[in-house]
Amino acid sequence: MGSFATLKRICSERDGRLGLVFTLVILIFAIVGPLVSPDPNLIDVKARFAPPGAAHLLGTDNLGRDLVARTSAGTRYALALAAMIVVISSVVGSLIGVVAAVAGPRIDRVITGVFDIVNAFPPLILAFALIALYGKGPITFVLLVTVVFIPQFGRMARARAQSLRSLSFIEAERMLAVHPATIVARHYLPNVAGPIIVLASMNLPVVIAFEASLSFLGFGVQPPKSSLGTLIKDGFVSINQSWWPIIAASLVLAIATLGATLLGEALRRVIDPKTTGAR
Amino acid sequence: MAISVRNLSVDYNLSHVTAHALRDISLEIGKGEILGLVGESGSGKSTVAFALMGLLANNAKVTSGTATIGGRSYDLTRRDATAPLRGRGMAMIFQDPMLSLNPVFTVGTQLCEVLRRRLPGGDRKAHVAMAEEALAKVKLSDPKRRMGQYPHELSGGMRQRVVIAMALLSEPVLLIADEPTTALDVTVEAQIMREIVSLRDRIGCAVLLITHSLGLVTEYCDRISVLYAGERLEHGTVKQVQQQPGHPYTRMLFDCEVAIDRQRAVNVTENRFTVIPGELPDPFRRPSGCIFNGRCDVSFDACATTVPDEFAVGDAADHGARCLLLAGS
Amino acid sequence: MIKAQRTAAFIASRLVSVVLTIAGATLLLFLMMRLVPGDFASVMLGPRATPELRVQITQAMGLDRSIPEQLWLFFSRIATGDFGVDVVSNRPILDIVMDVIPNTLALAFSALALALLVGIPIGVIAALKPGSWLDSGLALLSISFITTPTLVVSVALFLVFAIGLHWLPVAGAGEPGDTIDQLRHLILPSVALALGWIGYISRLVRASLLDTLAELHVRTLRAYGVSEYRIVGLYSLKLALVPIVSILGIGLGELIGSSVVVEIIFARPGIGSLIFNSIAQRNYPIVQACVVFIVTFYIIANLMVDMINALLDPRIAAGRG
Repeated sequence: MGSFATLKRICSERDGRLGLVFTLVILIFAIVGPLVSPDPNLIDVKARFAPPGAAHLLGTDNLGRDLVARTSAGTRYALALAAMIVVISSVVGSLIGVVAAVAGPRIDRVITGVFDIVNAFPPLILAFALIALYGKGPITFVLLVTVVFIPQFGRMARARAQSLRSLSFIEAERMLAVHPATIVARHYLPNVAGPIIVLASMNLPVVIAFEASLSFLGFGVQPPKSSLGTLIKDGFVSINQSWWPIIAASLVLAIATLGATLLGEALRRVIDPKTTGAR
Repeated sequence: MAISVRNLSVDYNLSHVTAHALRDISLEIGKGEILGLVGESGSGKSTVAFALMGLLANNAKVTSGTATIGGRSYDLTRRDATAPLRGRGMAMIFQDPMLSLNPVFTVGTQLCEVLRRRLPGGDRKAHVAMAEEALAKVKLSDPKRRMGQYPHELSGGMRQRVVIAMALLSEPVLLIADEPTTALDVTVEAQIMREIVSLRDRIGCAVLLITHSLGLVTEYCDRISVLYAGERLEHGTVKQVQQQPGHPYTRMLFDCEVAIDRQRAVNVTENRFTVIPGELPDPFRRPSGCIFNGRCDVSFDACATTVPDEFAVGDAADHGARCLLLAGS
Repeated sequence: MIKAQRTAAFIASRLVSVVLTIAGATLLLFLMMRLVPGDFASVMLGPRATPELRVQITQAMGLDRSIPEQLWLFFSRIATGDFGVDVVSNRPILDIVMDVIPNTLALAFSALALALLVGIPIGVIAALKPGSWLDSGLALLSISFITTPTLVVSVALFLVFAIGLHWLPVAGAGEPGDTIDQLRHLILPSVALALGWIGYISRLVRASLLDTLAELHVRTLRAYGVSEYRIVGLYSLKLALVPIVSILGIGLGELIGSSVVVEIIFARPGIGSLIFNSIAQRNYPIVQACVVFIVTFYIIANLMVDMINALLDPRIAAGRG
């Protein structure tokens, strides 16, 4: 199905349209915001905690920094991190999952066992422990959070690949002694891609919220960089002085996750109508 | 007549098109009688049952029809017209006993639910005793233990006995059995049919047996109605219809049945099985003329244009068929 | 007899896998801590690392022994509930953890109860009239509940009650011994934690109930005149709840996980805030003990969920689920 046809199908229902609108609003805000507002790190002590007005549409924070600029920069950074986490964990997860499905029962048992063990940790707690032990740099952060999300993708890819294994054309190639890597590349990965893309799109909002929680608690994005989570944290710290900072960032976060979820579910209904929605 | 159905028509609305599932079906069943409603799959037999019960799918609509049950008349075009009768005047036995009981409640609970409906306010202990008795009546071994068992612990035949016990407990005027043995082993078929007959003997209800098997009809039924593509082509007593089928379709149906005692050729390829060539007509566009025209082996020009009325077959008043060949006689 | 044996075999097999998973998770935790680059004693102690403390912790954790020996020490101590003594407060770590666990459990279970009490009715109402305006309105509401991050919900509740209304306390867990006060302190954090799960459960109940209502046994009950209330509310709901209960185990784990955020915002002592503070102070023995507790709790919750499901659906215990 072409991407235009997919888009048309998504727009044909209310939830899909809403999701698309919310997502576009957030994207435009993230992209255009910095162009029309001052430097997000520009400190103006005289304008500390300014309420929304002509100079600062959403007001300013404790250092007089413009909230439109800061929130939009934070949104951009948060989205970039979340996208990276989802892409890496879906690619790595798919590869591991397909390997588990085709490499024989022993390797399969080891891989599913590791997935089970990783899943035994509540996600946020596992990310905490990993980040606390192994550091907080942006790249480390992305890789560590990836660990938390890989098992989901791995399980999905494994289940899908297992259902393919008995198909006649794959059996035929196995009989013809086509190299396993070739079979994986030619048949498994393309067939696993559909459900993985759906799962990835449904996981995007989860990861956005996850990153925000980690950053809020100080385990994610570190200053001077800021994401929605750190903005909420800053707002929370200065809540007795002004409640504009926290509202702006929270609202953007809520709209982003709602939009991405609605869009992801619409995409799932178009690509993979049989499976029922999960979070 | 204990039960009669007049001019029952049902349409199915499938996105943008309407399929006519039943057209002007009428049935009569006397008290204590068993009427066999036969037809191929897709002929609309089960639709008759669900229209009577008021359990048609949401996209189905009764466009005409009245039913007289237990002396009262019901307008079937009204959804839920017969709702008051469910579990009180009408009972039903379903095709697939593996799926027709709730898997997470015990047999006893589900039987008592029927009594809750029929004898509201009765005490639980009495209901349990009655349910146990009903299980014994349908010859399920060890009824006390069965009460506490879940459906998955019983075989298909045993589950069907449980459903028959439900029917027994509701003491219906009309029992509808929708292909009650199709999903079961052949060896169980006779036992289940015997339980249905003995239920009829116990409460003297009318039975509508829906089946595709003429064998069952000739063995257990008093009367027969032949359904084809939503229309009733012939009706009469089993004996009349068997001896003198009035409609070519009925005759061909009987020819299709392979008698067990028929002589067989040593070379199996020489054994001839009769089949009716052709397929059911398009449910969305009824052909003009006789609905069976096209598959009929004795049709003539008028069959393509004239919809045949019902004509008496032979001298019997209660044996009729819709075939133009009978028009002159 | 056979039935009881099958159920026993089912429970036994689940117990074995539970023990294996806890062992695996503990091993993973051990590896995670030992794979940290650098001298482990310094890592454990961070900025507090004086030579005396370093010797103390090296001896306490057997860091001078071989890795297999250390592993054995680690496992055998955890198995006996010996997590050592906190170097900061000199209190047994087990006591420190046990002090805060009731708060977190109260929070997680009240959130779960709230999610079920509100989520199930919403799902049932939506399933009664699928496709109606009520259904689609509830769907949008549920999705908004699901997608709004716990962080945002907590912040919103905090704002409304700390700055706007002053109906409910927004900080702490209440006076010890004063049950009413503790319950009042429980309300906002529970709501914050439960909201997403209300949406999630209502969606699942709706989908599961619609599937169940399409099954043939529902037709049997209808044919025997059983009222629609009993068909939906009793016969179908029990069957429809089986898949819901399965996810509650995961739910409890996630609730404990997200309780960190809620406990921080509402300044509530609990295992989440304990982990948070311990990580901030680089007090890893406490973190380790907390994680062992959480993982064990999570896995046992999943086991209990399986047991409840076996009660709800007899086919599961019979190995036919």
